[in-house]
Amino acid sequence: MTDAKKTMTLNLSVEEMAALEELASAKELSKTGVIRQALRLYQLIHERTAAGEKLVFEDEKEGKKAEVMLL
Amino acid sequence: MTTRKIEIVRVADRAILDAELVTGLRPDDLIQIDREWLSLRQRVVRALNDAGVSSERWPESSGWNWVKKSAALRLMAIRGFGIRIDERWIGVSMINVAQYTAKLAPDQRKPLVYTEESVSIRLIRAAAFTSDME
Repeated sequence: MTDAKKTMTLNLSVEEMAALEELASAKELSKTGVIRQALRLYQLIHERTAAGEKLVFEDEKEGKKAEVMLL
Repeated sequence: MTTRKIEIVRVADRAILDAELVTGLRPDDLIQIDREWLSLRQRVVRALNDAGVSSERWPESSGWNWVKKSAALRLMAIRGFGIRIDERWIGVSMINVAQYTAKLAPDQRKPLVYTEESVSIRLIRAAAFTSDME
């Protein structure tokens, strides 16, 4: 992985920006940091589901399990 | 892949050694490191076997498939780095920077850097001479 950076402008709706700011505050990350983490995670999930693995949300208390389907 | 000069302390005699910290390891780098360490790892496994040490107590890394693991370095969530002295790899580690969050307060649900795999020559050498391993 290279340290070189590239800059882009991101157009978000008011709701999307509010969600980004809320996540940044909750995770104690910058907004760029949240976008970076989201991209890393999305790539990881994409690769693993493409390889045949499933992404699952599980509620142990309720005994519920649901597969997360990605676009 | 980037390299920077560092100093490390050799535990045995507290000597300070010049070393290189290499970040951004790629899959091919990990495969090359595995090739370099293969004969040593085989010797360690033989020695443990000859000494009658149960395989449950062998270093976890003795059975890792680094070629398979190396593919994960293509992902942005996984970072690989290592330490070299005089062009010889002495340690390598893979970390996950996206998948895990803290479980306990006050950092609950905040991102964690998680060490996926980590091994050093010192660890696998030591394993050959002691049965009191983690």
